[in-house]
Amino acid sequence: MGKRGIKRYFELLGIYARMDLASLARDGKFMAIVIAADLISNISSISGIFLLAWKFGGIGGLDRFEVLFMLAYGNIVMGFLNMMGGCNALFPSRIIGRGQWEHMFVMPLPYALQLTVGIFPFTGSGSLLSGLGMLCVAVWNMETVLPWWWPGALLLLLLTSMVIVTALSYLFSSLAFYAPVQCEEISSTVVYSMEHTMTFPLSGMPFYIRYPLLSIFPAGLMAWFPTMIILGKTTAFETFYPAVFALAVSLAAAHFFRKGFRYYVQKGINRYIPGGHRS
Amino acid sequence: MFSKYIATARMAVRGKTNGGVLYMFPDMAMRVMYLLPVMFIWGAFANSGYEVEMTVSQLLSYTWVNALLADMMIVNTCLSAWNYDTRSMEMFTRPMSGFGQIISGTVGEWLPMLTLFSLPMFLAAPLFGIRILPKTVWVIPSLILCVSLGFAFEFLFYCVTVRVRNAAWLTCVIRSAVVSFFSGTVIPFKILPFGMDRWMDYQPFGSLGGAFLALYVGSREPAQIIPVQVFWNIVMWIAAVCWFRRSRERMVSFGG
Repeated sequence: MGKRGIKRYFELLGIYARMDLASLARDGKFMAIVIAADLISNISSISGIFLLAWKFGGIGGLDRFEVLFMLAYGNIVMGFLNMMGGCNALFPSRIIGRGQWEHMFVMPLPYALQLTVGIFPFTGSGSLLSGLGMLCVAVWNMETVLPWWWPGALLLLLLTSMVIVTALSYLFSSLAFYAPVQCEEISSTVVYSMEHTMTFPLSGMPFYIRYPLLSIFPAGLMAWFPTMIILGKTTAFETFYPAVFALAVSLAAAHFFRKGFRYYVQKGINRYIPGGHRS
Repeated sequence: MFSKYIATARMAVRGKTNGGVLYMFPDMAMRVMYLLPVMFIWGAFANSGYEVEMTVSQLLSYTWVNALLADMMIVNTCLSAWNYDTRSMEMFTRPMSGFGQIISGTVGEWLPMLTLFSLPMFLAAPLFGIRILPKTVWVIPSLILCVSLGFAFEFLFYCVTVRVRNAAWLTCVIRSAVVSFFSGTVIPFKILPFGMDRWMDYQPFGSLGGAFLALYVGSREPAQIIPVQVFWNIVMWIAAVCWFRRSRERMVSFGG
């Protein structure tokens, strides 16, 4: 993506943001319901684990507000990705599986640009805002004294977690090039499963559960492990693990996605019947 | 009379498996990945000496059975998806009741997973030290009432989707998050703090999977569960039928 591409990217983000604001302004009452629903659903989704932590004074070596910090971290990761990837940019298998990938061939924009545009900063930020709110409550009430560098580490780790989720989504979406019907929703299955599993503190779990959740199915890297790093409960060597993992999974995703794309260009897809409906 | 519904269920089974059962594997793997951390959280509580209102054996059975019967504990039908890709319109072109089509199709979609995942996991449970047999035979009517109520909620949420002008995503988000907490399928009501179990049992979502599971592991008595399930079934089905009749004429659908 050249200099012009980057400029165009931000222009497109601006257009999407304006469209989102327009939808909010056109029907404020309805959009208020949407935002409230988003907030309620986010709070509901983490309340089970937090209530358990509250009742038992913490879970697996993390106290109540450390658990809340972890849940907030996960909410920020998913909230930001959902806000930025609202147009299925986070779920490329849907675009591929629905036969919409061809539509991108005729657009006068690079693929990377087309895949990354789509932002809902006003109506799609409920999860992000609830995450930020919970983070403030957690930090305010936490008994643990956080190191001076924690805000910087938080930003870097958030970025790393987002890269991991996005890369995994693209890695699994590569399968949709080969089996578009069956794998249309594979990216959402992967992302949503990680989203559900990330709420569990892995401290105190045996290594044969913890290690797979940090490697094969890295839900632990979406909230628990980064929280442990910020709380200073990991070794110096372990601190770099999320970044190394993010790099490895990104390279794998890039390789397999390109490979799948080449297959797709040769074989094509035909999911639409002449009447216009998808098969 | 029932042959058309059986044919619909059979079609749904084929729809789920015609790409090969291999494509069901990711869903199974995800269920296991979700099951394991919860089970180990209960183990961690047991080892740390906390006083929990349920035994570890009950908690493990609760989580295990929930994973096996997840589709039934909180019923998810194709209704929400159908409304945004026009297929809900097709529902009214067939000489069958809308309720019958949805229920038979959904039950058909459950069968491959029940056969290929739930049954082997049921048989394997004793190997992991999980007590898998129910405490009472009342679990059978409780399961039927749980599934029936789940379908009633599906129709009610479908009406919400129609009323909020097809915002299927909005309904889906609220539904999945709120229902999963208030149904008590992940965290049993009995171990919630602040005495929440006293009123969580009686709210309508509490008669879904959580009620059945509590009966299954013996943390609640049938007399506490069944009457509440019957009550909510009557109320919600009356509401679902009436509201569905009034809402279907407002239905707008796009896409394809």
